[in-house]
This record gives sequence, structure tokens and C-alpha cells, in this order.
Amino acid sequence: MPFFAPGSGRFCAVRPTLGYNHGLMEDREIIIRLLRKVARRMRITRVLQEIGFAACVVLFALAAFQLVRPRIADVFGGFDQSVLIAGLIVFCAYILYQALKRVPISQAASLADSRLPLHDELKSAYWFASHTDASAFVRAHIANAARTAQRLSGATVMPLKLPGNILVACLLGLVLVAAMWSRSDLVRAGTAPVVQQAQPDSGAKSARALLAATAADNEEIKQLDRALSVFEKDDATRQELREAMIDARGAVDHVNMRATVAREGLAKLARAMRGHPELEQIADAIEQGRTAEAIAMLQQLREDTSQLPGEDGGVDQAGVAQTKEMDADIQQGIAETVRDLSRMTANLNEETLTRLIENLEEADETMQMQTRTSDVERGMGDMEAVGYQNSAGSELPPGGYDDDGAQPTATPSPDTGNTDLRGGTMFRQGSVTPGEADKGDDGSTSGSPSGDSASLALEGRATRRLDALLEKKRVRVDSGDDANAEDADESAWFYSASQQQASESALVDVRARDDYSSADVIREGRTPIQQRQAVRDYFINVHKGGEK
Amino acid sequence: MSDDVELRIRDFRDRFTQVTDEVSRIIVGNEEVVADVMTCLLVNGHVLLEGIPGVGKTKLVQTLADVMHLEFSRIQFTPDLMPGDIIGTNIVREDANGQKFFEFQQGPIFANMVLADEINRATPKTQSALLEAMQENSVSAGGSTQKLDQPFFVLATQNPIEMEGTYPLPEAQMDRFLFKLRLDFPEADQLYNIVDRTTQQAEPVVKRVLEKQQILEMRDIARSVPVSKPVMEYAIAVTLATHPESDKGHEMARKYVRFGSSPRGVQSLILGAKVHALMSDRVHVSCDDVRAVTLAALRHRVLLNFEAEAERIETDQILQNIIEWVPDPGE
Repeated sequence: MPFFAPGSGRFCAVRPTLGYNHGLMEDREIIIRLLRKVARRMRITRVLQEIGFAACVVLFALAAFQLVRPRIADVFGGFDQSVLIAGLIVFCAYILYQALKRVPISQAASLADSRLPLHDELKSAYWFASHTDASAFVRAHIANAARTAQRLSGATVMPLKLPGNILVACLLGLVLVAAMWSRSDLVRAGTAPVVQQAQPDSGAKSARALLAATAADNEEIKQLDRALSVFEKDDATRQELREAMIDARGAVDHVNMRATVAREGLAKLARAMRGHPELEQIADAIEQGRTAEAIAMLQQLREDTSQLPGEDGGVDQAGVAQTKEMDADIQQGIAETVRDLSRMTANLNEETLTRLIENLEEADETMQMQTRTSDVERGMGDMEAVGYQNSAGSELPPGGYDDDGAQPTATPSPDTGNTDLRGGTMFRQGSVTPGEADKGDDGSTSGSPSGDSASLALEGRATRRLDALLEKKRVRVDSGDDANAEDADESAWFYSASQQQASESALVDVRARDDYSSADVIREGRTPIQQRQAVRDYFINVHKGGEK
Repeated sequence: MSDDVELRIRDFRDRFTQVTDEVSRIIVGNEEVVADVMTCLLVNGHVLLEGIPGVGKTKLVQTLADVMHLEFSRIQFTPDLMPGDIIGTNIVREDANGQKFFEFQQGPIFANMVLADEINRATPKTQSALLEAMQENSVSAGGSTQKLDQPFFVLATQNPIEMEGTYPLPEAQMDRFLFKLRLDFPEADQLYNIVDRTTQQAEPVVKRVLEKQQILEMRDIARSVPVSKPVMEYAIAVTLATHPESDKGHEMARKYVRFGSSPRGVQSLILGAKVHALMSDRVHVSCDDVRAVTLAALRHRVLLNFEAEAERIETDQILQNIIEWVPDPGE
């Protein structure tokens, strides 16, 4: 077999010298060195790409989880985040394991050939260098490839660049941050009940804390306490919850009433105090609702007064004693104080000021209690909604979640201290500051808590037109002049509930019955009463529309 | 590259280029066809030329024979042509003593370059006589075997139209040809050159630039070009992709191919790729070289089914899709 001798450029009968083999080995080393560099760079690039990919997946999963978490909680009743995190860790470990695998040199050769392009020169040369005996053409080929490899560097073949998916991962990271931020913002904006559903005890705890801060010897507080106990029970039925809610609202109404009375009393007190120039500022503070400031000013005034020796305000001492005994009733107490103030002819004495301070403190306490009880009621309302959602086997009908039975919270006005405007109760039920034309204790023209102009809530069903609620009627008399005269006389006409209103009222009455159950209604009449009512409403409306 | 190998390759390329340059003095256009014919000659293969009448098939072969110092013969295939008309026959001769004896009279196949014009017009019996000689490089007649002189190179032409009364070559015999080349109708400017050259008082004359021995040396060089296993695997993958029943078959092959390429197809790919690599100034074969000869090497080895005929799918379309589909090794 002839051997190729590179020095002479001829074939010879003996194996070529070590020098030639040495050259072949060198060429082989040059090629393999370059390919190893390329393989290393391919590995680094692959690791970076896989890290970027894994980061994309992880961040996407976390962002998606943050966004759909409330829905998952709705459907599955909670999802353990640690499962997701464990899954992602396993995924990342697998990806990293795959990425760290060694890149075959033949693959590096293929990449170099295709990128430059070298027409499979390095790939073929690497294969020949590691597999077969070298013929003259093969040696020539390897030498050519070695020269090519010498011209190249790892960076030429495989420049290291930051993969595009790293940028995508950064964007996904921003999305994740935005998702976390928006989720917390949503919770702040009012999705709290959804979260509360998963932890229904938190509302009860906060309501309980509010109650604990209020005087426990008050009857209304006790009533609220009992209602709250029902809400704290895990096995409370809807009926029990509803009854407890009604009780709580009753108690809150009482507290609101007392607070309203206290405010009216304070208003009168302020008017009476304006008769005394030194109390002018205090009267302003009371009218503006700065009760604590008024108390502080009165205490300062009392200290100043006590330093003046032997001054007498000219107040009837018997009257003072009498008002002391009646201090239990805030309305009476304030009324007495007002009387004292109006009877005062000289400077104020210390005792009157003390009583004023006590009246103000008591009124302030009443108003604070109103605020707390309103908060407690609001918390119970939320818990009621949660309880309805969570309790299974409800005895309420499917349509029993409307606002028909919802009672408006009392005096929702910033002036009264009750700012509960839930459910669109944008009306004013109680008066705060008496109007100019007010007489006696009949409240202001805007209405009083006793309800001489109490309006219906705008929540729930849309408010009906008045002509749909009432019908103008008169007792028909015989025909003739008398009849015409009576027609002309407005006093002969009166308003009564329209048919629609009457049917509505009947429905409300039926549903208010203790033994009302839609299931029974369906069993007896085969048609739910609400459906029958809807059909009746429809025909009434058609009838009314035809008349118009 | 070692000096000797470099020298040999340079010689190879120079000679090759000289031949194609000379041929191009007569043959206008079709440079790729000329190069492919040369390729076949240099790897000991045979060519089937296909083209409509008048595109220069016969002229190309004649010119090639003129350029190379080779013995040339032309056989016009007709339906009444007999095998003996090709390979020769024993005739009765009489010596000086009046003794009669049989002497083998060599047929036209005993040449270095044989033009089998319109091979599909002869009967299968005659065709097979030629094809046997192509395969065996020898002829058996009158109880003796006659070796054919090397280089032995057959260029068969075939007319794709006027198929009435013809005997299309069977698939097994088509497989004997290394390449099947198509001569397309020339472009307008090429036509102008053809008319200009052939209507003058004297046609251009070519020089003989290649001797028989040089061709044999070139054959040695061409076969010495190494092919690495990855490239060979690529050629095999291309061939297997033509097989409809193979799991590595291409989708179009499964749909339109009745029979895929034979193992001779891979041989043709590799041999053709070797010459292509040398002509690309490379001492190794790459996948690009394989791709460059795929159409010529495989188009007559892939048999289409009826569906392909009905949908007018051509073999070249399928092969082109296969080339684009088969990935390079290592990718």
C-alpha cells in the first residue's frame, strides 16, 4: 500500500515519517480545539436560552396564578401555592439539566459548517480525523480544514449574545409585578368580600373588636352582641342569620335615633350658647361637629372660671340639682342645660360649665357609639352575604338575593357621622341641623327619623313612577249637578294603591311570612308565586300602556 | 492541501474546464448538461439524454467525442435493429489456403464513446444487448467474451414525444444510467447564437484537448475524493426519502411514488458529488454536492404512480421537495 509523503509530494512505499504524522496530529488538534470552543459556546448559549425560557414559563405561571387566583379560590375553594412552586422548581431543574448536557463536537462542527458556510469541511474533517486511516486526499482535506480552523475563533462561529427570551422574561416579570399590584389594588377597591369568603372569621373578629370598644351595659350593644354571636356560629342557617341581621339593624336604628336626638340637642345647645359671648366659639365648634374641641375649650373656660373668687352666675341652684338627677336621659339633660343657659344673667359658673362638658361628652360618646355600631352592622352585612354564599341547602328561594328586603341604613350623611352609603342609599332620613322654619321638635323640612318625609330607597328595583304606585280615585256619586260639583272638588278625590302596587305589597306580605317557602308555593300551585307576579305585572303594564 | 493532491486536483479541473470550453464553442447553452455528461464520463457512468428533437442531443455527443481523443460510434436505434447490429457478429471468412473460419466482426459498440440515438425506438431485445454491455463492460458473442475498451461511455438519447411505436426503457434498464439529463429548449439569445454559428460558411471546429489516458487518470482522481460518513448518511437519507414505504419517506413520496430509488441511486449521488466537489475546488464532498446532482441522479429511478400522473406531478418536483426537507447531518 503506497503512503503519501507530504515533503516530496509523492507516494512512497514506506510509511511516512513521524514528522508528517506529527503534522496530521497537529491539524487534528487545531480542528478539535476550535470545535471544543464552539461546543462550549453553544453550551453557554443553550444554557442562557433555557434559563430565559424557564424564566418566561415561571414568570408567566406566577403572573397567571396571581391573576386567576381569586377564580381558582372560587372554583376549588383554595389552591396551595406551594404545589405550583414545587412544580416550577422541578420544571426548572429539568430544563437546567437538559441545558447543561455536553454538546457533541460533531454538532459544533455542523454548526460551524452551516454558519460560515464551510460546505461540511469541519464536519468531514473531524469525522476523518477520528475514524479512518488517512489517505492522501483525506490528509489534504484535514490540512485544509486545519487551515480554515486556524483562521476562525469560537466567537466568529458562535458569538455569545443575550437570547431574546431573556428580554421576554423581563417583560413577563413586569407583568407579574403589575399583576400583583393590580390584585392588591383590586382587593383594596372592594374585592375584599371575595377574599373574606375564604376566611369568613375575619369580619366577625373585627366586628367583635368594635363591639368590645363600646360600653357593654347598653341594651343596643347587648342586642348587637347577641346578633354577632349568631354570625360567629358555623352552623347558622340563613334564617337565623337573617333574623340576627334584623335584630342588629333594629339595635343600630335605636342607636342612630339616640345619636340624632343628641345632635339635635347639641344644635339647640349651640343656639343657646350664642347668647353668651364667651361661648360663641364653643357654639361654632359644636355646630361644626368639633365636639372634642368644644369640650376642650369648655374645660379651659371652667378652669379660668374657678380661679375667679365668689362669682355667681345667678343660676337657680334648685334647678341645677334637678337637672343633675335627670342626667341619665341625654335629651332631658341637654334641655335642662339649655334652660340654665337661657336663664343665666351673669357670668357662667363652674357647675354649669361642668354640666355642659358632661352633656357634650355624653353626646360625643353617643355619636361615637353610632359610628361603631354602624361599622359593626356593615361588617355583619358582609358576613351575611358570605354566609349566604357559603351555606349549602339554603331554604331561601333562588331569587331570594335581591334587595327587596334590604333596609336602608339610617341617616347616611356626613353631618350625622354615618357615612355608610352602601347600596346607593343616597337619601337622607334624619335631620341634622334644624331649618329656619322648623317648629318645636318636628325636625327639619328635610324629614325626621320618625319619618314624616321618609323616602323609599333607590336601590334594588328601579323606583316606580308615582302613577304606577298610586291611583287617583273618588267615591262615585249619583249623576247630576252634584256629581259634577264633586268632580270639580279636589277634596272628593283620593289616592289609593294601584293594582300593581297592591300586588307588590301582597307579594311582600307573603314572602315575609315565617312559613313562606318557594318550594311549597311551587308544590301547591305548580307555579312559583314570583312568576305569577311577573305575569300579573306584565298584563297590568300592558293595560296601563293601552290606556295611555 | 498537500502539493501532489493539489496539483492533481488542479489538473483535473483544468482538463475538465478545457473540455467544457471547447464543447461550448459548438453547443450553445446547456453548460450544466455538458458538465454532467463529463461527470458521468469521469466516474464510469452512462448518460440518458432526453429532449425534444433538434435541441442538440446528438450534436453534443458528437462534439464531446471530437473534443476528447476517443473512438466514437453512433447507433441509430430503429425497430428493426437487432442485437447483432450493435455488438457485432461472427462472419465466415476464408484464409489464404481457402479454409473458411468464423471471425467476430465487432459492432459499433466497440468504441469509447457510443451514441445510442433514440434508444426507445429499438426493441427490448436490442436495448438489453446494449444495456448489458453498459453494465458488464464486455460483450458475449459467438461463445467468446469481448472486453470493451476503456473508457467506455454510452450516451443514449430519448425523445419524450412521438411515443407511438416506441419501446420505453424498462425501469430496471433505466437504472443502469448514472444520470438522466434533460436538454431544454434554448432561450432566444441562445437560439440567435445557434443560428449564427450554424449558418455561416464554416462551422467552428473544436480541438482535441483530452486523451484517453488523461480521462482514465481523471477517473482515478474522482474516485479518490473522500466522503465522510455524515455526508454519506445524507445521501442515503435523500434516497430513502424517495421510498413511499419507508418510515423516512417524504410525504410526497408516500403520495405520488410507486417505487423509490435503488441503491444504485446512492452510488450515483456519491460519485456525481465527488466530481462536483472537485470542480468546486474542494477535496471533500459536502451535502451541497449531493444536492447538486440529486435531480440528475435520481429522476429516472423514482417511478411515479397513477395519482402523480393524474395530477401532473413530476419527479423533479418531488426530488426538489425532498432536498429541501432532508436536514443536513448534525442539525
